[in-house]
Amino acid sequence: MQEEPNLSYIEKLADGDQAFKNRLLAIIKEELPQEVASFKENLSQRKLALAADGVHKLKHKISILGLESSYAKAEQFEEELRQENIVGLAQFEITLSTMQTFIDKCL
Amino acid sequence: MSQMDCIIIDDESTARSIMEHLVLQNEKLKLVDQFSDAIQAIKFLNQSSVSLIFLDIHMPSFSGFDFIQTLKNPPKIILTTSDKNFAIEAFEYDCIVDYLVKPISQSRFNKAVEKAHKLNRKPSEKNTSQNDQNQINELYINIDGV
Repeated sequence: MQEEPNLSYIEKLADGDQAFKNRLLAIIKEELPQEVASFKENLSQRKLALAADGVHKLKHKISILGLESSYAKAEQFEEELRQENIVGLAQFEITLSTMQTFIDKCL
Repeated sequence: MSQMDCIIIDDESTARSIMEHLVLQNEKLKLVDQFSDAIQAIKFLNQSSVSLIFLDIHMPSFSGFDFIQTLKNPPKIILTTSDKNFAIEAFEYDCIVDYLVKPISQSRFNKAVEKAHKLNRKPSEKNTSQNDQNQINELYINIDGV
């Protein structure tokens, strides 16, 4: 079962600062699709080392949204890509889609 | 209390925003600027100096470690990364005082800043403390001799 994202980390960090919380969510909402598009572009061109760098960058957002199990899988997928293996792609794409849906609902 | 001038270097906007918030919540720090790539930061450091840099290791084309190697007299550096695997390499550099794994909490961040702040104390401040200690010792000897 796909785990659900949450705002625990962001809320703890914001410590009641609603303006900061909204600003951070807006930045994630803007940056996430750009990073996903860049990852997919590199993947489609078989630039797997660059795609792995993209996964590395996306891992931060996965962790910010509290997706612990997905983070571990993304870490494994990043390593697979560096070995020119894309077995974990389908699972990673589900994680990306789950994050995007969640962020869209937050704002 | 003396504040440490600091900069943030990270290619990810989300990470810079979080680091900015963490810095602003810590009264020992004064944020001077932030950069999305190391080249911009090198240009800045050619003109200005800071006491502390929060540096992302994993950046495209120019990594955090590449950046450190360009600095002749690096200030204190706290590394930020999503990857625990660089920790051993990090401690090969004397200027690196701590290593923060993202996502970073305020309490862990503050602990790293405290380390940097202690190491950043001016030699004159340290000497003053040492002199004070010597004076106390001398006073003790005089009393003992009466």
